Amino acid sequence: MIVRFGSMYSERVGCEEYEPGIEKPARLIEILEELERVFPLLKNGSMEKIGDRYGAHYLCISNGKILRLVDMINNEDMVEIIPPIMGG
Amino acid sequence: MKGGCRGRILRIDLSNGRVWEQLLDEELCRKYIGGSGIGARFLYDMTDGDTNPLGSENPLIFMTGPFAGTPVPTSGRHHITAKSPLTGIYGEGDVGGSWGVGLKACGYDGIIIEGKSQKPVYILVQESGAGILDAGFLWGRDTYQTDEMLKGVHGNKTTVSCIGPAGEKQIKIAAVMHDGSHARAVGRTGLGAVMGSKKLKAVVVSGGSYIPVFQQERLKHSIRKIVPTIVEKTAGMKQFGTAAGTVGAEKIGDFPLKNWSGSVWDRVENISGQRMKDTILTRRYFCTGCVIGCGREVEVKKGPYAMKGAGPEYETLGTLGGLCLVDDLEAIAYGGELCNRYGLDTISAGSAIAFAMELYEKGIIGTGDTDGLQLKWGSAGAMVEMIHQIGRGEGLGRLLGSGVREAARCIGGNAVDYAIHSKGLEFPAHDPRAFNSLALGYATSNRGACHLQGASYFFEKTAVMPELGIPGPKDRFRVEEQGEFQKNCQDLMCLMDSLKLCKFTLYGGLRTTHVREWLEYVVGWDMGLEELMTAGERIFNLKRMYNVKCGITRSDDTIPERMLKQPRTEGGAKGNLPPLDKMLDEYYTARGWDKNGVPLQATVGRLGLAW
Repeated sequence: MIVRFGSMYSERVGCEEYEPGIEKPARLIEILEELERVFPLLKNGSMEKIGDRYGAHYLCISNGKILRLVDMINNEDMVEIIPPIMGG
Repeated sequence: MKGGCRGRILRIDLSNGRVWEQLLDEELCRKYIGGSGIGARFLYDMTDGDTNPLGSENPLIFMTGPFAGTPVPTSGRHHITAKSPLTGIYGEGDVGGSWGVGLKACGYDGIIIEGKSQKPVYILVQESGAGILDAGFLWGRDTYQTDEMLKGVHGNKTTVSCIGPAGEKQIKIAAVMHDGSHARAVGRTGLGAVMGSKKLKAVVVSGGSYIPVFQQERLKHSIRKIVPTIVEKTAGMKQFGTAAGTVGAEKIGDFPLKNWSGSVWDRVENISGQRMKDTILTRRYFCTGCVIGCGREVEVKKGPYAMKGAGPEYETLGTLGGLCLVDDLEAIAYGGELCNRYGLDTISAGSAIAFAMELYEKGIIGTGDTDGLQLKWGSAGAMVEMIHQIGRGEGLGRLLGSGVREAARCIGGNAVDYAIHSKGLEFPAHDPRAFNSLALGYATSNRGACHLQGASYFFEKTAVMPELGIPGPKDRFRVEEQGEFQKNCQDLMCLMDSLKLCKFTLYGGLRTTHVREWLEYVVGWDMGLEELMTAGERIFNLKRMYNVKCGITRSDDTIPERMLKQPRTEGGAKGNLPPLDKMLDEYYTARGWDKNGVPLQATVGRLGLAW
């Protein structure tokens, strides 16, 4: 499983890709907890919980789908972190 | 000017059929940039607080930006300005599509249309000039039909700006539509009704002239550096449209629910960008010159909501969907198409329907008022039927089409408690209880409740602008430092609206340095950051001065009680209420206005303005 950071996030964390060290398959929320532990600059310090940050500060997509926090991610999947932009 | 701007606009008086050209001097263009800025200057000079928005003296001003028709990405947008019949104050709207480039290719930066025709007409603009033509054969047609028919007459390379039956009937939430079934809309503030009041059905542009650029190679080099970043950072929008973050919006308490009385909604996934991609999406749509491609083309192949054309944007999903608790994506797509064809603002239409649903729930109106229609929350059928009524000006729809403020006033009692608007403009699909800065933005936006006049929430999600003191995302619930922040955002958005660049490029990493480079390479203007931001500040203050002349005071710089006193009870914005009064005092100080929100003479003078 590879996590790919969109350019806004790669600038913040200092790398473009990362392989989470947790056991797979894993839920997205577990992967994000690992990422925020390894890369504290990934999160916005104003929100306490990942559940608050997800959707406000980043979204994750994999295989052309927007992921939910409860979705299971398998070893062969690539997860991309993108800005949660919407509206207009 | 060495490129970009054509230096002339078309003037048309429909009362006497006169068509003439007016030159634009460089000083004016540099001070007001284009688009919204030049529109503001003309509206301020041509009208005042007593001008009847549906009278012959209210001009309808179409204006492009300095980059239209050049390689600058997303620069094909244009602006429409007039006094709003919905709000009675400053009215304007921004739109993408291809019309702006078409006008520039005819040799004009803009068109100002005054007066009223006695009978339905349309305007044809070509490189050889412009003419006023009979529109009897178009009157009564919807906007898709109008586009097809005019292309049938003038060729497929023409681009059409038109109104539908709603604008013809001068319904106050009528929109001006562009590009046929691609349905690019100037939705807000009822400018379609202004066009209808002039019996002007359409403005057709058909040109192919080259737009000169001062330093072509330097421009191309500059653009090549930023475009890959814009494309990469907005990839979510290309994949899932403006609805990419719909589910996320519900999670953080931003998504509108049940006329703004709801807190959470477990059905939002049914109307998400993901669901659209998985079910009805057929392809993406790119405005002319765009590299992002957020537009959707959809098809519902069968059933009562069968349609094919422009797909619903986030705002439409929010207002025809969440605001009415309708979770039927096909019904929302169909409802959106109806609004497009009638020529209605989907935000105002959805807001008016949700308002009516709440009144129905509370027993303030009943089936006697709705011709038997049960206006229940979540009823897709009721939502669709109400759009028909609003678009045709029939039944309860006739009242709702005047906007929630006027409808509440006519209904009386405590209907006003459920009319969610600022200065008469219904709320877009972002909750100011989820972003404190939006509360201040809605309250002080010059056209009424608008999330894009400041777009402050962009910088509380992911966008940054270090040169304006925004190095990283800001805390959306902060109370401090909102005044200067909002001012900077609004001045920047005035620039974007005047340059006619898409604001989504801000998510893509656009900076003022890019804008300054493009102004130099396209037009030949060497503008420093201070001159650029001063232009934005000048434009914003000019609009405020106009509104002061229309009678706006501090008491109008507010948002409804529901937003100030009733917090969401669950979800990502649970418990938050924006402290508007405190933020407003700080904002007025940052703006250089007095405690009543009137620009001080020192501010007016500094910006080169005059009452």
